Amino acid sequence: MAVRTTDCEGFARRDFLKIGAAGVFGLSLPQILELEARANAPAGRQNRRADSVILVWLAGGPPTIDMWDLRPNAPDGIRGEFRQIPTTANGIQICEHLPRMAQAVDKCTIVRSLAHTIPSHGPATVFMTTGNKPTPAVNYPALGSLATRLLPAAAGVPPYVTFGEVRNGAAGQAGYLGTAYNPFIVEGAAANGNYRVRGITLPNGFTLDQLENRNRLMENFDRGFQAADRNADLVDGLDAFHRQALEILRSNRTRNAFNLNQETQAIRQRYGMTPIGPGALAARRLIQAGVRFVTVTLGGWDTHGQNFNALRTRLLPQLDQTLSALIEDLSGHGMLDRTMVYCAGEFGRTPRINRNTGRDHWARSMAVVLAGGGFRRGYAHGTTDVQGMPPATEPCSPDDIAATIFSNLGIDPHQELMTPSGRPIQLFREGRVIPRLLS
Amino acid sequence: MERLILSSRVYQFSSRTNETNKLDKNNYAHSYVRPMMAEVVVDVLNSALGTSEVFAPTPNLKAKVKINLPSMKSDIHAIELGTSLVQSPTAAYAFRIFGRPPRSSACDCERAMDPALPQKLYLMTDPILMGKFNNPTGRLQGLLKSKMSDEEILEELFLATLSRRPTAADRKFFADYRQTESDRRTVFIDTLWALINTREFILNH
Repeated sequence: MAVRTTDCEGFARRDFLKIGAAGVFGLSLPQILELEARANAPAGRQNRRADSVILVWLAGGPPTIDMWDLRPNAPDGIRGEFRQIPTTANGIQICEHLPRMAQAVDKCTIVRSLAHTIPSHGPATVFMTTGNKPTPAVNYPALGSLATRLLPAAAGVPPYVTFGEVRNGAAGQAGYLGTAYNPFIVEGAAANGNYRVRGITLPNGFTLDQLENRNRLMENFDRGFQAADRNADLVDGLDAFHRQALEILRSNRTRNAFNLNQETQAIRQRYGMTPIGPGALAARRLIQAGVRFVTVTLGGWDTHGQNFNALRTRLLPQLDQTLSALIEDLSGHGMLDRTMVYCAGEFGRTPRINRNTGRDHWARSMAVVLAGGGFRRGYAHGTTDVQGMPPATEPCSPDDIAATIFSNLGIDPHQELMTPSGRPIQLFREGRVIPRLLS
Repeated sequence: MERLILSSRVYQFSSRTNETNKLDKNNYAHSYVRPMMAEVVVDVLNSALGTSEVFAPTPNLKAKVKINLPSMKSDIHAIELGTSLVQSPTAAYAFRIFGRPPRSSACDCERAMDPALPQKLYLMTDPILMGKFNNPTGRLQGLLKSKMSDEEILEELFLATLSRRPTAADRKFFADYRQTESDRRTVFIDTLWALINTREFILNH
């Protein structure tokens, strides 16, 4: 692939030529039961406006000042080379190179006044993907891990799936929740637009009947172990994972979700053979199968040089095609009301264009796009000033967005979870739900 | 030194629980069931199956200087091998899902010691692991080729995986299973699969 695979901090994105497999996820049985009880409690169900989330992660820091929040009246050296075009939402204009997204803005909320203070890739990625400012003291879990911990899981599918690791596994992980809440990572680009995912199917020559036989034999041999003294959590956890593994192997749901051949050529073309096209389509199928949180990543946004060329020729066409396809497809399937889409990167880029016709890191004002769930349709939240500097109105921070997303999922953002060392931590201590984002 | 340890009071303590410490979870009041580290899991699987892992290919060196990389030793334990020296993708995958830290942060907490679903799926379905059952120089094939009886092979497999002899109950289950399946090879592959998928195998107890 001709795309840059490193960002300016020397960090190499996993090369998309490897095909591999992933982790799977589980909850212990007591936790599953506890979750179902909580999720089915009247209060929980009432407030829950969405069941799942798709995070479209733009790795490298997208220049949102050239995408969602253009400054056509800014002076030379800030304004940029692109013009705005009107969208299907009154009064909102976006970049001319996102024409298909312009048709979909009537389903979206564009938050233009997001700001934080971390212009470095790693920590900023952690902030955006966990909703908590990074600190060496605590390993915060990613939003997907939290969603898995707090939402009921569907049987036969892993609850949290990631296409392409976020920062090679340094982000998107379960943090203090423990490895049980790590994502199912789908490595490797789809070959011919198809995914082969290791671990979820029986290998050749190993039939389902054989699995049942062997499983029975195993349970018999293991019976003696139950009597021995044991650490309850550990052994129960293994039991629960064993059961979940069997469910995934026995049911077709996970396997079918990854089988893109079941979709028409037309829809596959609509999503495009971009680096995220097949992943986004698979994400929609996974959500239909009951997965709660899917991350698809598109890299190469770290445009310190030749920003406008990169955007015009590669980045924006890819994003435009796939993100608009995803939103329209979800809407067409009637899923958009219950599924949130969150398109973001770790930060924005400088209003001032540098010597190499690029933009550098800028976290002090950035834009993200949200759609579905309880989010308002056709709404732009907040403004930045003419020069694109810090938000002029309604500033908000990544933890506020996270809090809002979780409140849509019916989860109290100030709920406390316990770390293994016994420390209670609120989900998003500093985050406040932003009511104006919700319809 | 040995005498000092063996005759100490601490050594005389039993690792089993009694009424007073049965529910204790702190301070090693009794011996706890623990998960195994990733490196140990890989080694234990290879040892039980009678195979060895190639962690990195031997470099094709034309240098006049002899270079001895740890990964070139044929009997190396995984734990002796630094993370950066592992090049085999299958080994790397197993290490990753069993929690071996990638050493990207300087924290002990980086090692994930919890059980997780990928681990279970790996032990159940991984094609390369399943392939080791059929390895001609592996333990199972060696036992099948020998003149040992079914009972003796069962005992060998139990000793290789669970470090104990099969109990009477285990023997009965096996005998029942043996009745249902006529192909000898299949029976023992199924048995070996069952053994490495027990909790008893994967936990340090």
